[in-house]
Amino acid sequence: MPGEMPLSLALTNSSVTVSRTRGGEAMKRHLESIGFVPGARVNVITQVRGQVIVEVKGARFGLNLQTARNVCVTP
Amino acid sequence: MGINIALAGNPNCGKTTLFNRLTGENGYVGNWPGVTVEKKQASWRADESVVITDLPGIYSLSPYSPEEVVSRDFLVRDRPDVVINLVDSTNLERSLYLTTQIVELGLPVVVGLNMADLLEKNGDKVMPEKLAHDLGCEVVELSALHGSGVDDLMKAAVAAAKGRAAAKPVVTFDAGLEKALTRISDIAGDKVPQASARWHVIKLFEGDEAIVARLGLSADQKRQVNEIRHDYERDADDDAESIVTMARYDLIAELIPHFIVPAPKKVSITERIDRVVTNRWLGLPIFIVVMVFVYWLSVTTVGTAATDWTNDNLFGDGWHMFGVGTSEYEDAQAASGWGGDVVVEDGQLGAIDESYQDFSDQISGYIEAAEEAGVDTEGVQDAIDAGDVDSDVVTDFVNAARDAGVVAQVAYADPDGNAVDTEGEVLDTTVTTDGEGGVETQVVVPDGSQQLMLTVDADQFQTALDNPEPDPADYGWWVPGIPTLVGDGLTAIGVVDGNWVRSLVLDGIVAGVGAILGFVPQMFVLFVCLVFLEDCGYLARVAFIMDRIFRRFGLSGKSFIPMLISSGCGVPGVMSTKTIENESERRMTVMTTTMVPCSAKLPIIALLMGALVGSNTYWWISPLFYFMGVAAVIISGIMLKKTRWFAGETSPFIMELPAYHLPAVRSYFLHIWERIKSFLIKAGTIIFGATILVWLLSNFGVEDGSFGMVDSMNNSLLAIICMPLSYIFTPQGFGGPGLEYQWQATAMTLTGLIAKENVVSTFAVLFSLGDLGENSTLMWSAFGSQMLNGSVGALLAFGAFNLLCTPCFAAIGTIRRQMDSPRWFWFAMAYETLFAWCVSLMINQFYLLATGAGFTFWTLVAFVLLAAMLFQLFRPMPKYEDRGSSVVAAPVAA
Repeated sequence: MPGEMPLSLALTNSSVTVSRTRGGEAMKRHLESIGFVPGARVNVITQVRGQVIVEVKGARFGLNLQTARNVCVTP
Repeated sequence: MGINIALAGNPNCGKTTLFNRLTGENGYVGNWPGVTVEKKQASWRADESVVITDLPGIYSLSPYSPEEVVSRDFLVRDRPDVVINLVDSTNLERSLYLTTQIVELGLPVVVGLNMADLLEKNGDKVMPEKLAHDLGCEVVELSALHGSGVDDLMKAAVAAAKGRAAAKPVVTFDAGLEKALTRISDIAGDKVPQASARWHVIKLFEGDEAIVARLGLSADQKRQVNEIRHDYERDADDDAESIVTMARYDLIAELIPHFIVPAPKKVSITERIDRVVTNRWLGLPIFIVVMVFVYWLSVTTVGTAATDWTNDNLFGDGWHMFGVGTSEYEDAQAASGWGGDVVVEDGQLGAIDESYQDFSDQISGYIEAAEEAGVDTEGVQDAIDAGDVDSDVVTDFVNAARDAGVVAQVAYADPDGNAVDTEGEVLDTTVTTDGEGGVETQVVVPDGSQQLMLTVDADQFQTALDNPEPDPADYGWWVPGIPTLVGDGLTAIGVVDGNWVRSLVLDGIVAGVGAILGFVPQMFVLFVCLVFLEDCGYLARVAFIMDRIFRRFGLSGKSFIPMLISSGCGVPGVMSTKTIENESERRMTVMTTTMVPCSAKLPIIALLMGALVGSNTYWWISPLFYFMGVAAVIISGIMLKKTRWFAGETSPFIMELPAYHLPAVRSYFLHIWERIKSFLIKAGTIIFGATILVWLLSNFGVEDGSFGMVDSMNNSLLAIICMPLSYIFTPQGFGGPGLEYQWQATAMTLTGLIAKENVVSTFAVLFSLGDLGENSTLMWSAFGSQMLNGSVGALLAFGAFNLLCTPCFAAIGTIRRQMDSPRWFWFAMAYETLFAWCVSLMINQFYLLATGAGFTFWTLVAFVLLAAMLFQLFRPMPKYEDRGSSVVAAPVAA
């Protein structure tokens, strides 16, 4: 998909769309059940060295670098 | 016939608040076998026959986490009469994800829209009746925090349970998916339970193995279902579970505009706070400032004042209720020379109404001087102690002493028992021994300074007699302390001084348990702060900030919260490791978290600092030891992570960061109570028993060839046990042969296992320093220069060992419960003890080497240990084969 990148690279204060999730089955399942489904809008509240605080489906989550890498987003 | 209500919802949706509101304080916490996840059960306050089960907070009914498994099994197998699904209205899209699954279970459901008031305050318009229509169940607006709507919710729930009407959602997935589901339904036929048919059919479509296995489909049915799934997956280019997940979110996206008309969006306060507190540069400094403030409040100021009050009053002599009588008592004290500060002018002590005197020392000093001068002193001290200052025996003595011209020089002592110089400054005191267990004290007078001595003649002696110490019980509303009450009670039933039962009860049990309960106020203040940080949402952010740092050491940010709580008390600290999902991380945190000094270790730190630098009032001392504890945890984390038992990926960090809010008073205090309760229970059981044991060990022994109560602790069972044990601490410099006090430091360490503050009180007992505490300079000098021979290395090693080794029995018991495996429990105990032993050995040996004590065998050992530790710290991560994330082989040997 054009412009696809890991969520860990999204800029603070930007808004992106989830394109897909990666990683193991359990990880994918969990990410999806908390709202990281393709097409979901994600507001990046802060991003520091890949660690992000994001808002998705109306809730805030903190994700570490490895987890954020597993969420692919497009601008 | 009772009604069984299940309470389900996302984490942080206000479920526990609602549960506590509905059940009051009678809810009990039960551990379901095999899982560490808690499910609470209690009956409704308004109707005892209604039992409410608070399920763990979950996002979905998939079996991803233990919480989800527990909740799902309860709903599907136990089938409660009605499910209350609490939905966080500020977080609808995700909350409803769970709701769409719950309404498929074929159970009566009532959806509670919690915090709907916040949406309306925001300007959004909420129409619950529309949602009720779509989901086919009752929907009630409520606020668990404020209590509004709770009655309506319960009324709806009870009605739904009695009506036995299952939820019937009218909304459906897209046509293609529904068609596939219908086909599966036809194939499975009556193999799926009719009540929850839709849920089971969806699980068949997803290929959820746990559920499929339970249904007992024939091989042919399984094949047909698999075929439908594979065809669908191929067409959609996605796997079945993701297809259903997506379909659910599509459905929710369709639902929400039905019943909510949103107001225009603006940046929330939470978002703005988060930008600051999790800022790349400011995050950590802000956290440090917050924590220094918390410890300043609970350790240095408010908490210590509260604990001092408990120790001095409740477990001391007593106190004036509401302060009635306190000022009169203080006036009487000041007027008779027993109150006030030390006032010294021109090398003279101030008059009795302006400065503290030490009349009892003057009286005993004068009697001693009179005896040396040949005056008959028989029975005088006893008469004075009994309060008979006007009796013949005393009057005759005064006259005789006056005639003989007795004048005594008595050393002045301030209220802490410390000597002062003629400027009024406190002088240091050293202790020497006569080699037979006796102790002599020597005041150190620096050059150019002079010790303050009082000249006592017969007139001054009479003045001292005329000014007995006022009894606080004579003023106002006096409430005697527990030791006084128990003592009086024992006297009443004929157990008087000298009886061993009295000593056991007063010196053993009351003093022992009292010393521990004295920490409750301090712990309370600390938890008031920590629970506030937790409940308002800040601690979740701290875990997030610390994750950046901790991840490098093999721990996730979630390990930090137990460490923070352990700074108050290790018992709730170890218990709070429950939230760490990854098993090896949880074990590692359980093992290391008690290395952070808890409030009971503070007296050890105070004694140590007093002996080392001559003061323990610097504000930076306790934070310093906290950071040292954190460093020990980090070093352990890195080393353990590289062993076979703990190797593996650090678990991903996904943590919900709830919106900031002020905690509700009720659940806030319940939360604090839960933290302290476990400590109190332990104090009443384990510690109670242990204090009796220690009392027996230190008071009984072999003296003069026969077994019985001993006068000198040198002959006690404690000494007999600790003598051989003390050899272990030879390289640490605080035990073993070659030391005058060979076993005492070991005894202190051993009694520290019961409760860490026992380390200091045992020292006081061993050195007959009576009631002196960790603030007495005599105590410091006895500890530093006498017992440990003035060796700074041994002093530091003793401190390090006691702070790092296994915690007190209460915390040890909690570790055992949390590990849930004897092997892992003993591994934890062995690691903690061995780590403390190695660190303290290195400290002492390197100190000795640095001060030119020469190279010995133990110096070599210290270097070998250091090399091994550095190797383990800096070697690259070794590769271990077949390691599973959840199945970690227990260690065979430590």
